[in-house]
Amino acid sequence: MALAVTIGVSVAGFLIGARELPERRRSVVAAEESGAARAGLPPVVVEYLKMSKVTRGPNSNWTQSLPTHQDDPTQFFGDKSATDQQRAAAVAIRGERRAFSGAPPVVPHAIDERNAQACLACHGAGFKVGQVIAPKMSHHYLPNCTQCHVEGAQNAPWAIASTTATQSQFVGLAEPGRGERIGPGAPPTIPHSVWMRSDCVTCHGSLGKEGLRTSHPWRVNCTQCHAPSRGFDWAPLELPLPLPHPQKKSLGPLARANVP
Amino acid sequence: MSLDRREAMKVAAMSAACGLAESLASRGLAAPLPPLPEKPEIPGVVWDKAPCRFCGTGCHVQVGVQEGKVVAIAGDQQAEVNRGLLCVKGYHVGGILYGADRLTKPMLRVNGELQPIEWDEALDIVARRIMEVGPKFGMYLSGQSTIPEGYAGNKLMRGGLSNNHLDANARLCMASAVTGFLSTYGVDEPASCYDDLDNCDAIILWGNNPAEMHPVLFSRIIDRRVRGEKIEIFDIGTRWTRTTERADHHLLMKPHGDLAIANCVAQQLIEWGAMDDDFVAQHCNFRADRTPGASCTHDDYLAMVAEKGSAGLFGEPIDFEQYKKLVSFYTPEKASELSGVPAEQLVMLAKLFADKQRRIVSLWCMGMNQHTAGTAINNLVHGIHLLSGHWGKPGDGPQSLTGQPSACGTVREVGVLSHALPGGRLVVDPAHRADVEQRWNLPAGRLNPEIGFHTVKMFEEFCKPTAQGGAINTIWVQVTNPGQSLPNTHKLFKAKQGQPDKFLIVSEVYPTATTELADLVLPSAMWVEKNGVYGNSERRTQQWFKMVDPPGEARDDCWQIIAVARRLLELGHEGLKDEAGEWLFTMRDEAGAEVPIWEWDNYYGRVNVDRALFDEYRQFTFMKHKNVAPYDQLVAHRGLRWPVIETANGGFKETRWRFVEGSDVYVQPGKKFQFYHSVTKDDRALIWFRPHQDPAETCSGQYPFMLTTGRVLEHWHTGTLTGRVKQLSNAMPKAYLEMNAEDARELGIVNGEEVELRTIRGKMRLPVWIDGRARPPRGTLFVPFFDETAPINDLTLDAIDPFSKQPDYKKSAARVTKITDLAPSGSEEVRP
Repeated sequence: MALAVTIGVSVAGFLIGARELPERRRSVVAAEESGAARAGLPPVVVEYLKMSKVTRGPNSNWTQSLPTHQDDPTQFFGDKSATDQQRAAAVAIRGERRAFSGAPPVVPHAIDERNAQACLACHGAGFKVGQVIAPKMSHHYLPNCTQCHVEGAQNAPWAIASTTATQSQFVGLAEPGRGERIGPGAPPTIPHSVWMRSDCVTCHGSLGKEGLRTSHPWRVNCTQCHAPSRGFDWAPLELPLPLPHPQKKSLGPLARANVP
Repeated sequence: MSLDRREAMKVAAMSAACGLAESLASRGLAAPLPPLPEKPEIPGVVWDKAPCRFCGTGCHVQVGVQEGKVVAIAGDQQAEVNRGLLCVKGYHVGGILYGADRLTKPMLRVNGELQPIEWDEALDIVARRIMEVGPKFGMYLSGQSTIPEGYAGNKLMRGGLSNNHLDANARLCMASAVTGFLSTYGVDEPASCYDDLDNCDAIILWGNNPAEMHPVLFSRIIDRRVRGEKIEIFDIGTRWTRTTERADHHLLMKPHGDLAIANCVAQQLIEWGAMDDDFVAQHCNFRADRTPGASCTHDDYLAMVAEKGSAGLFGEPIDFEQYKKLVSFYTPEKASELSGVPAEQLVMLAKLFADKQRRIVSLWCMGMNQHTAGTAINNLVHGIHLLSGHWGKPGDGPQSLTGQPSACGTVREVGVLSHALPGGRLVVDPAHRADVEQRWNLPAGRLNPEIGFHTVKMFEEFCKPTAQGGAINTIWVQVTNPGQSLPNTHKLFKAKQGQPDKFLIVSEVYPTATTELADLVLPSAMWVEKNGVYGNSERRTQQWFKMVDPPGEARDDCWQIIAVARRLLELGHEGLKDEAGEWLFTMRDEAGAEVPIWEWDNYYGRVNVDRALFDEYRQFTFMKHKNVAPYDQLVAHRGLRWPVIETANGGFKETRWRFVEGSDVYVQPGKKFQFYHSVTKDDRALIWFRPHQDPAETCSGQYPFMLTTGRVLEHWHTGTLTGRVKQLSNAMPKAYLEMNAEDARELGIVNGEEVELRTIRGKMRLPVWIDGRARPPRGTLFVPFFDETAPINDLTLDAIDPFSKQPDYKKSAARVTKITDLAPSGSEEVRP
């Protein structure tokens, strides 16, 4: 009897505990979503069963549904022409990360300070999760990433609190407009240099920013129709891509003496 | 006008091309493609070439100008040095012109405050001051001064004022390389060039971190691996850096361990019989500070030199047996004990040199030069290359790197050093003085035969009160920031404060630690705001034209020198007249009329002053076979490596390897190698015996850590320029103290914590970075010197190399204390 009562109470207790409390849950989610509403307070514990439905943290805008990650095959062939607004938004984001059109972009996240291999993990082939895109390297493989790409803000513990007030009046070259078309419907020329931007897919492929993406991703031979300009690319491209192979001559017979 | 001439050249090239096309077409041949553009073409943007403003690599950039402002930078794809690639500083070099606090007006300190004045008054003050103080005037130029600026300063000081107190900041970065080259080959500057980086099988980095300091050259090396080539990198250094990450071998050494390492390589080569006997027999002599007696051991030798002192920079001859005996001391075991490098690694390095099949390049920069035995270690590295015959073949030889864009071009070649005259001539040599007097048309005896003060001495004398005999009263500083870059700045710079009779004139572009104490500030034009010529690490002379106007009343440094020279003439200074009574800087236009270049409005007018000065200077370069190309040739090239030889058809050909037959025309046919400026006058280079020496400061007791300093990728030198570029300063906002994780744990210090760093010279607070960009071994600290809010040179030692007079910034004994552990009132005496 006592056992039955104990079990009964336990079961009831469990059910009460597990019962959904709509009011409270809504407030938790609202607080999580607003983020700022909970500034200074510890985060509200989310019920285990509801964990997968609650979005929070820095990746709260990531979608967790696999199908949405796939390109919709029907969309692939649909009209993907960007609107002027989308294009302007994409160009604005590009501008934030570059001193001028053609400058190497700064890195918008913390980096491995010593080893460039970490860069390749994401930027070697490029990937996209939800709205977060790691663009593919736009140029041929250069192994010393940090030579040109530095952090947009130093993320080391000693630097986070430091405020830098660099007062500069430098105004960089604006991003180029659209390429020229010889007539309506004709393919536009490439409006920028392709030096260090030889892989069109980086910006114009399906991992590119909305607004810069090609309307016809199934076509992969870009320069078949879109002409690069000898004006922008003012040096013979075969010269440095890759760097010329050195010519070596034999040094003659081996003279090693008694080296152990 | 330069622009007009360039236009004319373009038109000429076009019409030549068109002419060719026409003639081909008339013969029924297909017309060739029109020539590729020389530079990018973007509507509304005008592009022109310039060498990068920063390090000594000498990359070329294309500068894009729109509506009178620099708006874009592109790596110059036609430049041999960088082939279209730049580093992050280079891509952002345009931003250095546009910091919001550019100096735009001359300023005089009145009642402690800098007040704007007119140029006319400013020039007058400088000229009157020079008249008044005479030999107590010093001029301090820079490895960032252009060649014409250095030449004009040289002519003003030595020719006009008979004053040799002219030195440059390259004393702080390159002087030991200079004495190393001089005492080894009898003439300054590398014999090899960057082509070696494409051809070598192994690279030895002696205290060098090119991944951050010379990134374009480092990429040139490691990009070869991407192409499937094998290149072995040996990193000899005192900490793990980004370079170490790419190295195959890391030889972690104690400070000054390099001396024992190089000696050990020599010892092993001799023991194995793996020297290049033919090369040594035909092309080398041996040297040491003093000739040892017959049975002189290593210890006897040290005792003898300690007693008698060195015989000087060129030492005394020794023979191979004596050399062998002395160097036999450095067995792998002994050298391992002295250097801290395991004996197996030393043997491995020696085996590399013993292998005649492989091609080896040694690279070094500040690690070997900022060294109290800087000349010695430079000699030793040249020595092991000579001893093993790894010399003078493409990809095989020693190559020193410079930290400044024209340390070679301006300071070393033009002779902006207290003992030098233009073109490798010496102040103490009567024949050289007479030659210079004749070229400048000066009366005999005008040049002062006494060597002037080197940098450290000049500032020491400047800071020493006049009552105590301070021999320098006024210094004019151009294009450098000694207030932050001198070592031990409390002693060598800040002590100037409170001495009202001392006067500091500073030509600058931004407020700096130096203008802080300046009595007169002259606003300068910089980089593409003026014409210029630079010379990089591989003997490449590079020219650029003015592309934009300087802001406000900022004006060229070269004009400032010339205008002061004119003012001195007007004030009646006799030295400013040559033998014919003409002003030293007289320039005439094509019609023969004198152009008043001392007036700013006429400076960019009928004559190109840079061209006139450069071509005048060029005549000085032939004596030491350092023939620079004529200015107009430089206009048409992305730099040319001297000696540039005029060919039979009137063209000009650069030289890639000096002293090597087939490359250097001055080598007599059949000689194969000829060191034609040899110290011993027999066409041989010198292999030196140089013993191990301990660093000037030992770490123990109260100061258990060894503090080293240097640069970081994003900033250049004292950060005056790079600190004004948002992308660079955001990536590296301030200085930090790099510390070993174990050391930090023992002291209870966590990553990011602010601590007090102290040497006997000063103290400062810095945040600690553990396992950051680089990792020092236990007992070693590192602080970058770019941050003007944390001027680490307040703490560095000012001990100098006995020959080169270059200070050793890199080995100061230091202590780290947690802020909470500090005594409430500093019980120890530390200078303010």
